[in-house]
Amino acid sequence: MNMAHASFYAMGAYLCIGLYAVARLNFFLALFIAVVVMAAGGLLIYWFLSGQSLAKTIGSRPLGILLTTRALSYVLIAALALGFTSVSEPAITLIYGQWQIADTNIAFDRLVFAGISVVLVAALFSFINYTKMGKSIKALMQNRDAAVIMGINPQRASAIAFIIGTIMAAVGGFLMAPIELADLATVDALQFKVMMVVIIGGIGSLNGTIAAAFILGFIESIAAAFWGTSWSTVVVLAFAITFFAIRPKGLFGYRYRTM
Amino acid sequence: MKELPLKLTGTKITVIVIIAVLFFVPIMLSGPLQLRFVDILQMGMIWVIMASSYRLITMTGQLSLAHGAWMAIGGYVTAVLSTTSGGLVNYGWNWWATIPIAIIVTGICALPIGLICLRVKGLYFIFMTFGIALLAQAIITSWTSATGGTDGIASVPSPTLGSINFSGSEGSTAYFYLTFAFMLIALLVIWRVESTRLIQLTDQAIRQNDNLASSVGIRVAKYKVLNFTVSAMLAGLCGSLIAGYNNAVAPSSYLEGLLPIVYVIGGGREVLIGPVVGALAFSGLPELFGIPTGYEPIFFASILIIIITILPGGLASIPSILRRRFSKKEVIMPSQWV
Amino acid sequence: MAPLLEVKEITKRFGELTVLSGINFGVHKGEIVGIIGPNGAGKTTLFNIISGYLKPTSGTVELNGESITGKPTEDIAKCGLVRTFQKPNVWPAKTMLENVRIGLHTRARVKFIDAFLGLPKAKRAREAEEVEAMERLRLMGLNEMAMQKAANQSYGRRKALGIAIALAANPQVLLLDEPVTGMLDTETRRMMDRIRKIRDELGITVLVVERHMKFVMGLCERIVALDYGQKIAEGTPDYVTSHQEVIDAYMGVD
Repeated sequence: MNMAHASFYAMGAYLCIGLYAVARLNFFLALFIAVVVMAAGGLLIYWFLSGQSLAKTIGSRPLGILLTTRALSYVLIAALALGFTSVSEPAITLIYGQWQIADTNIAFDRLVFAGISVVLVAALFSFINYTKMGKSIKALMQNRDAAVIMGINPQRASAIAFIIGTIMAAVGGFLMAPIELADLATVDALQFKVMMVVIIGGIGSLNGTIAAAFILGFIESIAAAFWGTSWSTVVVLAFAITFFAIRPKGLFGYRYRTM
Repeated sequence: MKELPLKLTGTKITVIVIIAVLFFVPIMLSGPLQLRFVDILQMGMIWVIMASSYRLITMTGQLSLAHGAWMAIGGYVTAVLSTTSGGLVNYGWNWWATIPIAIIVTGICALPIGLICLRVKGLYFIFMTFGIALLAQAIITSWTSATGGTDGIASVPSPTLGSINFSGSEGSTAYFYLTFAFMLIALLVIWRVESTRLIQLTDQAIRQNDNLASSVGIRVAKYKVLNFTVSAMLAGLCGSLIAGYNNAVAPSSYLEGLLPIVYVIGGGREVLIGPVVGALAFSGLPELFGIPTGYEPIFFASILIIIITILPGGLASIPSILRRRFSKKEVIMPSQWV
Repeated sequence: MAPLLEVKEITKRFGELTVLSGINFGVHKGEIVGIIGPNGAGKTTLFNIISGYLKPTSGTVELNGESITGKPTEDIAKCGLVRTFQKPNVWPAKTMLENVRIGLHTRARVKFIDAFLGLPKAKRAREAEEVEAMERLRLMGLNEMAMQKAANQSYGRRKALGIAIALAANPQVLLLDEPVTGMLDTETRRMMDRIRKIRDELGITVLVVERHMKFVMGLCERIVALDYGQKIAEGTPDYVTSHQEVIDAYMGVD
């Protein structure tokens, strides 16, 4: 479990600002460079996390990884915020214009972003379920020992999974940069939302994650409409915590893994 | 065969040195240097209480991210009860009187949350406490009528005790010794509780293998919740102390989820002296080195990463590492340092 | 005389799958009873239900006439029923002696307030504890390595330590979960003697789940045989092993 995930998102956002807005590179070139950079960075971090001493500080390896990634996220986010202090406003707009559907205005760029998200998630889904590597990763998740015996290389599969996750987070951030700025508080809350969606969806289930994301997002928006944005955070957090307390398995969790 | 509750006699020396330094610094320095050090050490001592209380949670093997929430509750209770103007309710209570209330309220909040969160372990516990911390922050920022939202509550009065002045820079020395007293009491209580064989063995047993512990009848849940609640209550005390010192409360900074972890792990979570050393050593460094606020997260997080990779036992493990290096006898290494 | 431990109509379903149905048997004080059955028969599930790690779908477990069904493991242990684990379960970073001392916890003679104040009464009680812990280790043949760390011990010794820890909790009934699985023949024979000693010297009633047939036959006075979640036979070792259903269930496996 990687608690630095949201910070990768932030990195993506800042890379967008840096490469596209400031350096004025071609959008797709900037995106490509960002992906490469994040993949490399992800690999480095993965390699760092594979070290053995992580278990010793806190007594168990998963906790050690959680702790280290949390610390890492603090470092990354603070460093990014400092490095980019001059660009605190979303200074880029990719696509102008809005659509008007019934009474509501839907900003065009949000729509495009939503579309891209759907495409990416679909791609991830087909990767996990239809490609050999994707299926290996899934197998490792369900039963590590059996998968290893079958010839799946756990390090490679984990590394690839980690890097894919990193890249997706970064791309998300990259595309969202024009829409919403990524400051420290937002990113921290985002990290929790990421964990919330995965845990409540059920660890090990991609469908669960998707379902949970929709449900929780829905709750937050409705709450915001009734009670305003700050209370909406309270509502969705309270809901998530209560739900988890009642049903630790999540929606579609394969098993309740004790770490 | 007698066993000392503290394994290193070097610890006793360290304790005496620390107490002596803290006691004499305000007296022996003067002028702006004195003010600066008193300020640094003042907050350092509050962090000592916070870190030592956080260690209680790690003693049962859990890692909580909710500690900042308890400090916030304590601070806000003190603020709300003692302000004389501008708040939701202006009871204008004496600061001293708010302390027991703050501690009790924090305890009341922590107990049910502990009961819920401690049913799960590891990642899920971290997740829940993370959620609690964010929830507390969200409530504080949203419930503006009670808490003043993001602006917080200012004009929290300083404590009063006869003719002693506790506020402002003239009162900083007095407040220093006030905090010093609280710190000593808190540490004393924690120390004696821990030296009881019962607690020592039980906590370690739970931390290292809680399935086995419950199979021999140790009430695992009870001890975990107990540690959690007491730890939260002490954190509430910290909140009140900070409120009295700054004469204000505001929503907890982004950093407070990390600081207790840094101090406890950085200092060494096995021994009581660990968080004391960690808190005092690390909290003053940004001030001393003139690190601006924006860089603080990087500073503290880096400390944590360095400790994790190079010095898993924290600062407190340095003496035993040195002893092993220079010892001529063959030492049996523990095959698992938990 | 009523049984010390009674299992009444225990049924366990996991969704569609019925793992145990209508299990009934009793264990009298001072007996050594074994539970056998092929893989998947439900032995471990039954064990987990009796010791509180699982709740049965229906049925009760009674100890001394009082129901312990569905109680948490810690309470059941305090009532006098302690289990061991299939995989060696110890506190690795602690010495063998310390491991057993933790087990003595349920009968902590040291009052909290005495220890808090550091009274000499507390220190004397601590010394008495050590003596008791060494006794348990001696019974399991581990007293020579009492000061060694548990993590450094061999598989067999760690399993023995697990039993010593369980003994320290002063059980009336000891549940042994596959105590000799994975052990050499010599160790197995020694374990049989030790368990007999545990019953003879400490008066502890023993319920054993084990797949090693010679062990079960040589040690247990009564055997309960399970297959597909049902009790198919109960009686002396000779009776059970000549029972046709049991033979069928095992199909030639030793």
